[in-house]
Amino acid sequence: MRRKSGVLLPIEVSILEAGTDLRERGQDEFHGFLIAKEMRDRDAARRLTAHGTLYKALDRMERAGLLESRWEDPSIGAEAGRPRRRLYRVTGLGERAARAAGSAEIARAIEMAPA
Amino acid sequence: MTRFDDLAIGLVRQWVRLYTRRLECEVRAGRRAEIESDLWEHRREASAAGLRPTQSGLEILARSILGIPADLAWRRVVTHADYAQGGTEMSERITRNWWLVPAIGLAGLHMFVASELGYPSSLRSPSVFIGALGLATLAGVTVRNRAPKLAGLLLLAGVWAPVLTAFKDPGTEYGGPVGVIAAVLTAVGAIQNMTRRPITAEPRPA
Repeated sequence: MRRKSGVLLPIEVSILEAGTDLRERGQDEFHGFLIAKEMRDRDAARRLTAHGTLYKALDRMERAGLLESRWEDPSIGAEAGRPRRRLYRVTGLGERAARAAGSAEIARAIEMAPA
Repeated sequence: MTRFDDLAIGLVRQWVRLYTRRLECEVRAGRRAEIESDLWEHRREASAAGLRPTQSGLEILARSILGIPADLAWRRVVTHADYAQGGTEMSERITRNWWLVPAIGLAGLHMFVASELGYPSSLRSPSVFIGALGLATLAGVTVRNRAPKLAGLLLLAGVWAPVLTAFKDPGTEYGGPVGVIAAVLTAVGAIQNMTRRPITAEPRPA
């Protein structure tokens, strides 16, 4: 999907909001599957976001500075008997972008509401 | 009997392997590891929720199939980013090292004069001195990245002879137009090199 520069796509808003919610619940970092699950639960969707759509968005958002990521220490994954995770965190810019997108959405909803 | 979710995971792995082929090593390994982690978490979650292998296999397969256009678009973006970065590095390299050809030519000229012609009449210098200037120019070329200031001084030391001889005794075998042009270009390159920071090997971010 093409978009205007400086405008967040719905999936980006969704990732930022889900990441911010997780942070408020004490989980500062998230991996891909966790954020997909969080988004599904928040949006009451039937399916998890597709692999390609999710990881492409995460990659793009990291390049844009909305997210930061790091690879988990491999020994942690090995101890838990699972592959290591790539952990993402919403940056300050990401938080501000999510807030701005949220207020724009509210403003649009108010404009469209019948008088 | 093979469980359906195993089969689905195997297919997803094959697809990821396919669309990440020939990408930069770090990008390829990163995407494969990330999907591997996702598949593991998905299966564990499905198992905890009591889903049958067929159901979880279908979910996994659907997530992969629905993401194919985005996978291909991502590959295009990453490939173009690599290309753009390679192009930038190439132009940076050219901008930085354009003067190497005249500098090496000048060093060769010095050496040739020293070994074949011996004493240029106008310079009145021994051939060993001319040879030393050539070696200084070559040394400057060699250390240009590690010690730009020293390299600049060495190169500047090596450029004066052909210019001087050309002005003092135009038309002599040493310091002809080619030598002078090479000397001037090398001098400009040497000064440009001196104003740059040394290049050090920096580890790539993880």
